[in-house]
Amino acid sequence: MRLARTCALGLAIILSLAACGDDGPAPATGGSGLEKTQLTVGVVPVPSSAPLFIAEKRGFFKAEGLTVRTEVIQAPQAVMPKILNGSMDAFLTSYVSLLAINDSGAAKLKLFQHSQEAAPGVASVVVPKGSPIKTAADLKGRTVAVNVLKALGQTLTNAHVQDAGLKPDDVKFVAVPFADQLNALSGGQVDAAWLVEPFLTAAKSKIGATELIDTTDGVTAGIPIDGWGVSEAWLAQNPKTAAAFHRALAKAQKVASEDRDAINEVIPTYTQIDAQAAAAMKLGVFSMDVDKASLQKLADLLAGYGYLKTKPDVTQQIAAVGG
Amino acid sequence: MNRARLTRGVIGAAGFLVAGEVFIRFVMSEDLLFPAPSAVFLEAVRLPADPDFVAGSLTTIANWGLGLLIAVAVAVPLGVLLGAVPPMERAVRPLVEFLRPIPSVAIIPLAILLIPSDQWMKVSVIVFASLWPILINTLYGMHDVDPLAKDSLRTFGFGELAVLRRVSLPNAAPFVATGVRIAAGIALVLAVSAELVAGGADGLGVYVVVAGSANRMDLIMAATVWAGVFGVLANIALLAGERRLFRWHALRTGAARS
Repeated sequence: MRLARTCALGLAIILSLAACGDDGPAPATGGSGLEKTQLTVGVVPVPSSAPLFIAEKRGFFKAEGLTVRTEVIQAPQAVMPKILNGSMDAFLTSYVSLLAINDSGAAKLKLFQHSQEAAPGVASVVVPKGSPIKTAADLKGRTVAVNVLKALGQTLTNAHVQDAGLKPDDVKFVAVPFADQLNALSGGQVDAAWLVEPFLTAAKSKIGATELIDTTDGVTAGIPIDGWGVSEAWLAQNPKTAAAFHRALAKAQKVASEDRDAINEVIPTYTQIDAQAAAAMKLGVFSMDVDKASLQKLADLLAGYGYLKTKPDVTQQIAAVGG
Repeated sequence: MNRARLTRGVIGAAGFLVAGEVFIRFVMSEDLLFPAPSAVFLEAVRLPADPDFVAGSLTTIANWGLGLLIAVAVAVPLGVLLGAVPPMERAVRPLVEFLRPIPSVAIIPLAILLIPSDQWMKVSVIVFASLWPILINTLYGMHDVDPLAKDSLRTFGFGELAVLRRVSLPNAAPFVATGVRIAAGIALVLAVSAELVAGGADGLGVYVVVAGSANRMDLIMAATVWAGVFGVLANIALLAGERRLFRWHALRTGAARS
């Protein structure tokens, strides 16, 4: 009996704890005409997510009658099922992921709002100190670490080594998570690594790595990096919510595009990057809309290297949301 | 646990940490970046002051406990039923043996697809993983019953249900407890893994994902240390419970000093 009582007590404690963690979906309020007022948004803990947190902090969502709950994700591919079954409304996605998911037919996604495009110096191929590799052409027969194979890093690096007169096959790419790339570099497992902030700064300051190619300059300058995605089905089912969400997000995007301090201010609230590091970080450009020609160029590069099966028309991938 | 054992355990752990500290600080190349145990320890001590970490830990522990309780509620009756009705066990056993070795981490994507609620998705993965050790141990416990004891009761005219209640269940209980203890460790692994794969609003795994994106290996390791602490505490609590409840079993089998 004593056992039973102890178990019952344990059950009660755990159920109450569990109840705290579960917010549950709130019913849509009728007055505003929104299809749903509570949104779950997948955010990646990187600076590109900043506009969403600016909107939250300044009450832009509240003003539209929306409550936004964020879930940390690593990449949209890992949570595709959540997007398909409707438990995640919108998410931050790289353009490469968006194009690749649509190309694979796993889902039909649309770009909802642009976030960031590249500026020189935000993503580079680096080599360890004392490396014999001095130019892009020296990468022939060498191994380069990228965070994900057949994605942005490999595409941008390929474009640059081609520009230097090599063929894409001349360079071998291996997948290494960003956090492990620094050690892979100094340990000699790879000859070079494609890094983004904050890893890029860490590679230079902590292990003395030097920059070989600025992959967001030259032939690939201004390439779009990421934005907010939604599924086509979600867009069709929630036109009014989509318009309201878009208004709030676009308003925050405008703040981000004009005021770097607004970005610096929110970064420490959703990442482990402190205020000082956030202010020192090199960021891309937060434009209002994605440049279609640049996005088409990215898509053409991806298709050209065979990372996409078919060459997409990027205008088809951008949602037309009436602001 | 007696004093000498405790002392030896502490010396073992401390020795390992000191060796790690010396290796990372003096032997490992300076260009390899990995936080030394002292740095990790310092961060681990600071973590309880971080509200994100505390909220995350509570979420993970709640999912962990809930998943484990559901697994117990499902696996124990099932194990007793299968153990009491051998033909049924023979019918179900191949399926169990097929499902049991499937790495539970591999079913996370399937769970994400099938279960829209983020929390219940995680709990269900935990339940799936912790089901098997409890079920298998319950079955062993049911098999291990002294046939003489059962026959004696039957001779005195007790029915099958009475035999089950008076002999089989008490006999299986310590095995069940061991199964639960093994499952608790596995359940914690899955609670964190599900968060690493699927992300979420908060959780220990989510905290690690966020720390990883900011190149904070020290925070990743510190959070990992806490996951280990939670696991050890759960094991100690369950072990103490087992000792108290099943003292007679330990005495009988002579396994009390292990």
